[in-house]
Amino acid sequence: MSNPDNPLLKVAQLAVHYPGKAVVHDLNFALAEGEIGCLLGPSGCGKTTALRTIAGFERPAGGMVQIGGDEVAGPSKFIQPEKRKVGMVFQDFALFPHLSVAANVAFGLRGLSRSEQKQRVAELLDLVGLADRAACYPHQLSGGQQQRIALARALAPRPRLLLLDEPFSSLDSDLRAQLAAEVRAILTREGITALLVTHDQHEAFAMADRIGVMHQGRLDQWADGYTLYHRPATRFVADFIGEGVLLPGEADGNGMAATELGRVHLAPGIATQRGPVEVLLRPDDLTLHSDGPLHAEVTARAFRGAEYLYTLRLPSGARALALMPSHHHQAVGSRTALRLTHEALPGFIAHGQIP
Amino acid sequence: MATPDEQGWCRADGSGVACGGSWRLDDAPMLERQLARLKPADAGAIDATAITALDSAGALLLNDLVVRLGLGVGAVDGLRSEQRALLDLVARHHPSERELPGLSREGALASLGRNAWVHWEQATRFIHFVGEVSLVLLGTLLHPSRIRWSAFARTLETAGFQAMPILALLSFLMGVVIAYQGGQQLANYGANIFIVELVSLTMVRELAPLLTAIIVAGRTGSAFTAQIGTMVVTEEVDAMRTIGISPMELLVLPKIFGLVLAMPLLALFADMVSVFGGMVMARFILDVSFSEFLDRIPDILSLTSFLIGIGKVPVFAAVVAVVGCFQGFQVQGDADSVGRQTTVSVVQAIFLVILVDAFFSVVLGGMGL
Repeated sequence: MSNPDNPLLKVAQLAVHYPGKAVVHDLNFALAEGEIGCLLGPSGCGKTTALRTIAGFERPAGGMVQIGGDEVAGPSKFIQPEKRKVGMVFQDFALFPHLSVAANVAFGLRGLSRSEQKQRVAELLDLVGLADRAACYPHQLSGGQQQRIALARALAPRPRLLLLDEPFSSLDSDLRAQLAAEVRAILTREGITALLVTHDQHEAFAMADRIGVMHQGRLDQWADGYTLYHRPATRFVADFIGEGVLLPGEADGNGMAATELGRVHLAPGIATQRGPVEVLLRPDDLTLHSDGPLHAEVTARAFRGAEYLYTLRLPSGARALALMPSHHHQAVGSRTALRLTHEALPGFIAHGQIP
Repeated sequence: MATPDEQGWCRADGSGVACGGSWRLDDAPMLERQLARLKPADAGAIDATAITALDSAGALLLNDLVVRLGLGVGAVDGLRSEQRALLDLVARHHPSERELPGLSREGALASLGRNAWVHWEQATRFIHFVGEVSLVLLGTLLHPSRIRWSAFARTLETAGFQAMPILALLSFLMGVVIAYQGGQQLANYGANIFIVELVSLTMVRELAPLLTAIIVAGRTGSAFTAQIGTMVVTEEVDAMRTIGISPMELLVLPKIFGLVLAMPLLALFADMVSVFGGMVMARFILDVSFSEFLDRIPDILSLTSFLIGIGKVPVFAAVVAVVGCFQGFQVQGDADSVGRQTTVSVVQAIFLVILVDAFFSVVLGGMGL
């Protein structure tokens, strides 16, 4: 089904300009059928503009968008959103307040006969688990329920692609994680291709198969969560995703670097570079261990439930983070031994330039 | 080593400026006088090694000095790290005062140009919108199944039927006023019976259609803008488009159709009520009885005059509906903008209605009608 040569959504060299400024530059990515993608980034990075361009609300200044092999926006072509067959879910739900839940879901089903409409609405309300609320009005439902209705409404006309614009941002944080998991389950069960936009990395990890980190209108990296976390392509990705520190080191040009924590393998990318580098150390790359070869002082620790996050001062004064199961106890101010759990670490050329 | 309480000072030292002592709020007046003596020619490195104490007031002064000498904060040497952090913070949040006036003051010519440009752009967008509406209108007339009858009926009810009481009251009063003002003059000449011409011609041919258009613009045009504008803000319009429904077909056309049908009926109603108002006044101050009044109407009110009056109204209706819908789609961002566009919608609709009416007068006058 999913053919990488013939993706369902293809975005190539997409550029979007607002009067006087460029918002998105040279955006390239593709989604296979049934895949869930995510554009992740801080506010103002252009992710929502990119999504709205795919939906058809903005006209690109360059590049093209293909959905299901048809060009919907390109140098000589622009298809209106009404004709693109994409569904969209909005941050503030955008339900029609004067229509009942069932009428909201049926809104996009104009071509069908009354009984077909009724059947499709029942099917979708069942899918989102709100079959008993068909006669309610949107204001009678909770935020999470409203967003599920919005999802049902977007899916009703069987769109080729579903777009979600910060769909969980106006919900409580508890509900957010739960709904993200539910929505992912619904989408994967139905085999729906979807693209999500969010500034919340946990939401992105919970929902998406592939995540693109956007920064100042550019896509820094398009990969799965593990790769973004442990093999970030740029300093911005390293900084934006998760926690960690950059430790100075000296690369030898053969894929190794000497650091305060000993010699580490540099992850591919700058392996052949020589000279000063900075190595990304994630909290789970270090473990406190009584017979570890290295020593440090505990300067702070934060309880995270299952874990403690320790902040350590290495002998040189550099800072490092380590994540330990919460049963492990090490007092603040004490000295501790530690070891690296993982020796292939991503490195960046020291002082600024993105490799 | 200087004592912490040494008074703040600064002076030119040949290669730049040297500063020292306490740079705190209490020292500020002193320091300001000393700083005023420094000239841009003294620019160079600023040696701050001797500064013993620095608070935010001192940091502000130091920042002003840096800016006045045309340097960056990097030119200050010898600050301790916490003092440096304070200076950086101040420099970041306190742009030099001389930068500000340039930013806030725009020449009259520049703002005239900017305003002209904004209006030009809006006019272009309006013409674009009218074109789009015309295309969709044509498409819908070719495929009548796409007409949204329920939305059409709702417009008829809210814009037509529900406008009748207010329109009745205002047209009646208008008839009363015209009859009263004109009647006093006519009575001077004993030409009381001409009140029929005065009231029925003025009202039917000119004033009742205009009054209807103005009331509908204020009542319904603004409601169109507010409704569409709110739907733009809540992204309902976007949601509608992604599920394949054109806002033009669902939101705009039924309003135009509804108003184009309802407003001539309203104008006809206003014709009758305002003439009745004039009739009542004529009875009381001019002793023209109802039967005399009614007898005379068919003699002086030609079918042409009546048709000209009513015939203008669908055009007014289209103007009010299109402007109302257009301004609704111009809403951007927040609820504030809904209010702004609603006001603009009413002002523009009334302006255009009067403009169109003047145009009709000139053209019809030219044709000798």
